[in-house]
Amino acid sequence: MAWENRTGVGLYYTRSRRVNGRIVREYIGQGPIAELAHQTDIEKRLEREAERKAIEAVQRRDAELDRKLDSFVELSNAVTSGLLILAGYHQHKRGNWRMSNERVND
Amino acid sequence: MSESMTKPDRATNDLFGNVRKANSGDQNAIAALRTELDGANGNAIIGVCGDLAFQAEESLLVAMLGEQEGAKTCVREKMKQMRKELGRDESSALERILIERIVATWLDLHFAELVCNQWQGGSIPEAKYKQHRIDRSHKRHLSAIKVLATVRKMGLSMMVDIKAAIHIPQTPQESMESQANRFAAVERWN
Repeated sequence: MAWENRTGVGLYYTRSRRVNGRIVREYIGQGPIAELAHQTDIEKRLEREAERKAIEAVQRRDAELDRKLDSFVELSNAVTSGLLILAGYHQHKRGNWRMSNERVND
Repeated sequence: MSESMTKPDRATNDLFGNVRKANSGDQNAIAALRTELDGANGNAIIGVCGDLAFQAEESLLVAMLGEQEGAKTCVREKMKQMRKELGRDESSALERILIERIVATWLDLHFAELVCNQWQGGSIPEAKYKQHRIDRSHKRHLSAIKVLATVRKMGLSMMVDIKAAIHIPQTPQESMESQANRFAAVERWN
């Protein structure tokens, strides 16, 4: 959003937006209507920023919760895998657990 | 390995490495794994799991319900009921950890769905984020159920003996006590 300075005309308010990937500039004009459009645009921008900050805060909180849960999940996975290996199994290509050959032949 | 790491951290880091090597048939890693998961060492690692589970569950409860102690008590009661339904009381130490994992991931999924339902009229990126979070939690929950089913199917707890009546902490006080005991135990074996 910008006030353009036109020679001989003075400040002229314009608004740019993206339509189907292309930038389209909308000419609003001068005077009270342009001032009102400018104020509305500022308010919308502030709203979007507040929304973005709220999402970021939620993402930060979720990342912290994920970190705690993942450390528990990873350790429990390692313990389970370790015990399965000691019991004679092996994990085939990160998939199913299979009885190792030596144990099958026993 | 960094000197700033605590001994339980070192023990768990070694465990990750040994599991990877042992799975590809490395006999030395299998021997190391046996030492790590047998007796007191195994108990300490299961103890670490219990503490991590407790911390994750408590953080989720605080994020979900804040200071609403009554609501937290209700959710804790539901979690207790789930543990009972999954046969916690009759299970081995390993199964108890896996049951705890199911309960913790259920709580996480429940929280993700709650946030999604409360967050009305958001933008498309918000909606995508919420959906992604639910999908991730759902995947983690299903994986937790699958691991317990695998362990039970293979009768793993019958084959491998972790000799302990592991107590998973249920209150912050118990968590602190079990952590102190574990550190003392790790000090003794090193």
